[in-house]
Amino acid sequence: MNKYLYEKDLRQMKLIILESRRHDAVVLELAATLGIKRQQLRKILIERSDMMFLENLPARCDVAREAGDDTERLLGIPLLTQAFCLISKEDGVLIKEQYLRRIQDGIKHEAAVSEARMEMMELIRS
Amino acid sequence: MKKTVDISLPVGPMHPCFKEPCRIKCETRGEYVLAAEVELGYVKKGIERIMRGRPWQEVMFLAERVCGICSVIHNFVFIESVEHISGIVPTERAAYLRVIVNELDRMQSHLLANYSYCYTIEHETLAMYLLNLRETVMDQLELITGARVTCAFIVPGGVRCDISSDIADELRSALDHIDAELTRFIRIFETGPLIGLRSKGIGILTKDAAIESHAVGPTARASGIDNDQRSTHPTYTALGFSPVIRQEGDNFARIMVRFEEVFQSIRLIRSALEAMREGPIRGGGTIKAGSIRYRGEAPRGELLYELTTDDYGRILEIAIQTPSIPNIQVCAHAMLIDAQSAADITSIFISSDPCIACTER
Amino acid sequence: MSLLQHLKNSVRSRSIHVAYVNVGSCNGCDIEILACLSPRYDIEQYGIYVHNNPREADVLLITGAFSPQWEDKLKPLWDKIPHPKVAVAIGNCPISGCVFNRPETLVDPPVSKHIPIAAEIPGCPPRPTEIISTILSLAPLIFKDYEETIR
Repeated sequence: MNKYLYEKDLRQMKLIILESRRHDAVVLELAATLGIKRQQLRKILIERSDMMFLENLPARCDVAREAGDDTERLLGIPLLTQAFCLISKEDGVLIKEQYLRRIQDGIKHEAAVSEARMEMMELIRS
Repeated sequence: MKKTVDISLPVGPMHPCFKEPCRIKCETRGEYVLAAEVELGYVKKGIERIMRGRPWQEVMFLAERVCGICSVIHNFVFIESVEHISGIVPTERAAYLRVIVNELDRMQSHLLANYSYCYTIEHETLAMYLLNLRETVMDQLELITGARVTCAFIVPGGVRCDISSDIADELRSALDHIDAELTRFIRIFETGPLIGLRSKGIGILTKDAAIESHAVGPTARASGIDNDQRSTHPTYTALGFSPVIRQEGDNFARIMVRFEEVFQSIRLIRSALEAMREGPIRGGGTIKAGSIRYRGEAPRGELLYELTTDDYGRILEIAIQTPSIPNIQVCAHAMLIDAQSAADITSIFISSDPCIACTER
Repeated sequence: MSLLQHLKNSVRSRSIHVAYVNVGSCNGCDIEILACLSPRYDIEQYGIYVHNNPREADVLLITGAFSPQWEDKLKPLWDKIPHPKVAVAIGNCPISGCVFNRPETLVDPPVSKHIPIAAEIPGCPPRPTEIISTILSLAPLIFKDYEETIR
């Protein structure tokens, strides 16, 4: 017996989980915050999380929406760190501090947000 | 998941301790568990996809078959959410009958969960006692509704059939029997030294981890979280309901919360039988268009139905969030970490009362 | 009939080992199988033992419509069971798919497409007594004089 019977490709099953209505809503929400396409975020999630975690995403997001202050919620940091676990909590704090520093330096709001997004995407991809 | 060590210990999909197929992959050093991952898909049926676009008369039966163990609560929550959309109010007698059947269902589910746990830690005597006691509850369910598992008792505006005074007397004497027997079994469980070694201080779930993963039901209440949807339900508040909460957060606390909730259910049924007056059991009404998010308390925790109906009584959109989803997730990613031996993996997993059929739908 | 066959028959009639596999049911049938274990029905007094281990099973109880993950797993599981063996479908799901066999579904019933089914117990779910009586009436048909009939 040299065939692994149970080590199967699970991408199709994971995609079926993410296509459900509530999962689709939270994935769309985070994709909008990060400024990427839904399909890209789905790909990242399928690669990084196990099936149980994917099933539980909407419930985790419900909790994470109430966490954090206004700035963090604007950048979507509680969702990323607490609900999706894509970046660590320390990195979340760093991103927020850098964003606040840029606002103090007189950089426009939109530019600061888009730079924070770039940083978050870099952390996720690494 | 990133591989931290070479050894990955798989448990399942067919395992003597599990009632249902699911696979846990544990990253271990020796027997010490470093990380765990759950693989699903063995019972994925796509019920939400089937439900879409069908009339409520069909969806009612599909909702019941999301889970065979807690079928009454799925029926209960689906019908109540449809009623809230359409402004239908159940008659008073029907509201009490719903509570009685729902609590009987909770009792049998909790007894089954505790049976599974005792069986997993190899205390087969106590397990068989509990399984036999569960049959007494199943008899009462059959006597009232006419079926053991999928009984479709609750319909919009009321319930399907009434109970006579004979059945009420039978129910009262059965409750007395369960009360007396269970007190004895709990003493066995609480004072058993070997049960204590396998249960106390094992599989600890901290309050923070439980909140972060949105843990619900007895799993959360054993970690000191006051979260019970029954405390906001009008019929339950009229009966004087207060949730059971423990602080330890280990296997022992979770099982004890379930035992205490069985007593609580007995009290609720008794006071519902007292408070019930003669009257009609069915009102009328038509299903209207609208959408709602409605929560109810299943035996395993908070159950959420999110649905949209149209004027013809069809279900346009539906999403079901069952209590097992957060509970198994928090079990795999928080409770199983730091388990000291491979034998504890199954006992910790079973203590969170996993229901894979609910999880995957 | 040889003496050895006679001995085998009498031993086999009192030791039927059962494994159950859930290929996508709602749990209702599984807990009815579990209820058979309770002292009320006492499945072991008939010589039926539930082990849930395919390698020592004689009877495989199948519940549930067929979900996609089992596509490549049920057949190997069936092959692991030693002869003589028999499969019993429990509930409506393995027979027809019950309420799940609708457009948009993920399941693929009936189970008899994948492995040979000897008996079917309809019901949603069937009662524990029906499950026990089916196993008891089926076992002699399959296991009696097994060595002589295959020769």
